[in-house]
Amino acid sequence: MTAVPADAKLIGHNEQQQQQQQPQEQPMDVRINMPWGYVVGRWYGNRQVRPILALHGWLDNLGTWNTLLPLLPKHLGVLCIDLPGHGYSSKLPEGIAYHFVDYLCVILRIMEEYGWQKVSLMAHSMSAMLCFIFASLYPHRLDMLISIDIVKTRYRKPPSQIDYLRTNIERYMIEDERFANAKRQEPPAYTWQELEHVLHKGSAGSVPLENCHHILDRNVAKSTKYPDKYFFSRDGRCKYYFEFHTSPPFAAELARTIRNVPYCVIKGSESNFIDDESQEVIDILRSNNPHFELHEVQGTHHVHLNNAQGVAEVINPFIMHHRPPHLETWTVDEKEELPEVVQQFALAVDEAENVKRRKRKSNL
Amino acid sequence: MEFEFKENSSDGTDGSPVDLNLRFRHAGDLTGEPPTRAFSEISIKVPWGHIAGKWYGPQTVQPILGLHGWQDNAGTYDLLVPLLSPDVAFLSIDLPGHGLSSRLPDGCYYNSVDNLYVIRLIMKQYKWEKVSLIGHSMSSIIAFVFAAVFPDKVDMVIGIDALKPHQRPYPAVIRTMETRLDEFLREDERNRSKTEPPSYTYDELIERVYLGSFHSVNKELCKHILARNIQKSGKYPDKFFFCRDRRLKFYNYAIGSQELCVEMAQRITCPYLFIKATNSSYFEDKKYYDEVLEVLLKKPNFEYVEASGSHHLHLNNPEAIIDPVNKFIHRFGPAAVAAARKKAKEAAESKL
Repeated sequence: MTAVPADAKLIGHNEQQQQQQQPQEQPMDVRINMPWGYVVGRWYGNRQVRPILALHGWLDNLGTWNTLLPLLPKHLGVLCIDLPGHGYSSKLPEGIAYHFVDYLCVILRIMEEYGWQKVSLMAHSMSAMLCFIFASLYPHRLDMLISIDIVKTRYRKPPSQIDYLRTNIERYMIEDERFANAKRQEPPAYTWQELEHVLHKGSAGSVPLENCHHILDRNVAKSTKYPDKYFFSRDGRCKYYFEFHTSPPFAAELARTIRNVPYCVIKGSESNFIDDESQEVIDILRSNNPHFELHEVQGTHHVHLNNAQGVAEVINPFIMHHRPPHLETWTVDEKEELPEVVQQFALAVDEAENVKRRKRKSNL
Repeated sequence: MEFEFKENSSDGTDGSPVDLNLRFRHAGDLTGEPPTRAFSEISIKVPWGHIAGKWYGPQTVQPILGLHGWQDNAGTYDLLVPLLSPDVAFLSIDLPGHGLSSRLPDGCYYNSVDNLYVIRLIMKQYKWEKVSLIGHSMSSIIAFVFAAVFPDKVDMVIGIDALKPHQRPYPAVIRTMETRLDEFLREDERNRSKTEPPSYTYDELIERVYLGSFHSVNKELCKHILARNIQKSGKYPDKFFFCRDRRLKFYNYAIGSQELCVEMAQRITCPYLFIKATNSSYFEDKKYYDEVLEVLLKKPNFEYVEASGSHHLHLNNPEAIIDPVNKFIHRFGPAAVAAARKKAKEAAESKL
């Protein structure tokens, strides 16, 4: 993956027009304003067309896509974002908990910011559950959904769900106090090795030690107290995110509305996230949705990070099929071979297109 | 402790943070009448601002925490509190976004599960180990959920007219969620614009509250719900506008399925009085209500009362329910609990 040059600065979306003249190989850091602060993202690849919006999993950040991005089709860019509270994005205000509706609103706000009528989504884990809801609420606004290791929202048996509510609220209260005090007292700091072990264990072994740095890079900051140590800079309160749990009949109903949305699911062969409980929804999607695909790829829950090659082999044809490249020219022959009058006409058409592009707020 | 507490502020001599030139603590501030019962206007600090409330009765005992319904405010109990036993303390609060309480920060969504957290925050501020709750409508549901999720933190619950999280057909839930998110985003933006919303005369306001409650609140009593939700217009001297947060219209009620409701009912162990208004609907297919009621009726300390009245019967005709309420509070309220604890302590000590 090409590294971002040291002098790349955070620039807003409106300065993107200037960027069109510059080489498109370097990812562009973007910042999308939110009422409580901003969401940070990185736009890789082609900036001339509407990109795929990529959402990471619980407690990760956009670094999760590092190994997969270079292997994706070149005609389509990918806008990876850090969800609120993760990576470099703003945290929600004090006393406000993270709920699934907040993340759904982030998708809608990003679409509004860039003027997208439709969105293409690629999501992992928690975000994939979110996108399942999004697909069911807004099937007409979604033209492609790729989910890594998730088919549907989670079901918790009632006793477990009540316990979950309780621990979420109580632990959130403790973490919120820590958040309020963070300005005065730095959170606990660890060496880099310790951090890798924390993440590896916390992900139940899904992220192997050698890949931890992809995720740690944007979720930690250097300690000011201990020169060789780091602390978690992502919002600790994200751990107590209020998920949208669905009962099996409700999930089935949601699945029934995802009829025409191209939906590709990658299951990690060593992961149990997609289990028998998902079978009903898979069956419904298979019978209702002609564009539904389910593939198993060798790997853990973070299969897109650990086996990017395997994942790309599956999703690239899917992307090529549902978001094919635009035609670059409107003629097959090389420009120089065309008669003079046709060349003039070609120039005039290009000019008109450029004028149209400048007039529109966004060329996406 | 981070709350302000002034004696008898209802007579207008307090230093509460309410700007009395613009806002109204009770109907009397609007009409010139005295309050239905003397109270102290209080303010509890929370991370995003403050929660306002009215403290009735003695200030030396733990009060019963009163929570109002969706888009109402602390004034909902105005006609119930004068009928309570004089030794009972009662704290009627404005939930976030309602009445005189702070609204949530820009861009934040209102979720009903957050009210569980609000109750825990209030308990923390006052250092209550357990809470006694009385809730109406949406808050009656929250009290039910709270009792199930935190059974060891509750002394007693009184619920008025809404028993449990409502179950709606899934297609309807999906369509509602879809429109709600878009409208929320628009309303969130409007919140941030500094222009004054449409304002109305006093009579127009009463009419709106009357219609907005689907005629559930008697017209002459609408002023009690009105007072804390409005502000004097800066543009028109005799007019007022609604200043409760309009994002409240898109409250996220998602709590769970019917089987979750049944499990919650099974987990409730505290004394629980539920009052159903006979002239009010069930808000869902009656079979769901019946299933949960059946579970509750098996409990020895669950009491079920049906009373004639509309959804806001505690405001329109509190006499119809005050008897069971007072008896229940006398048996299970904070004073009874404190006495029982004292007795148990003395018994333990006398054994030593």
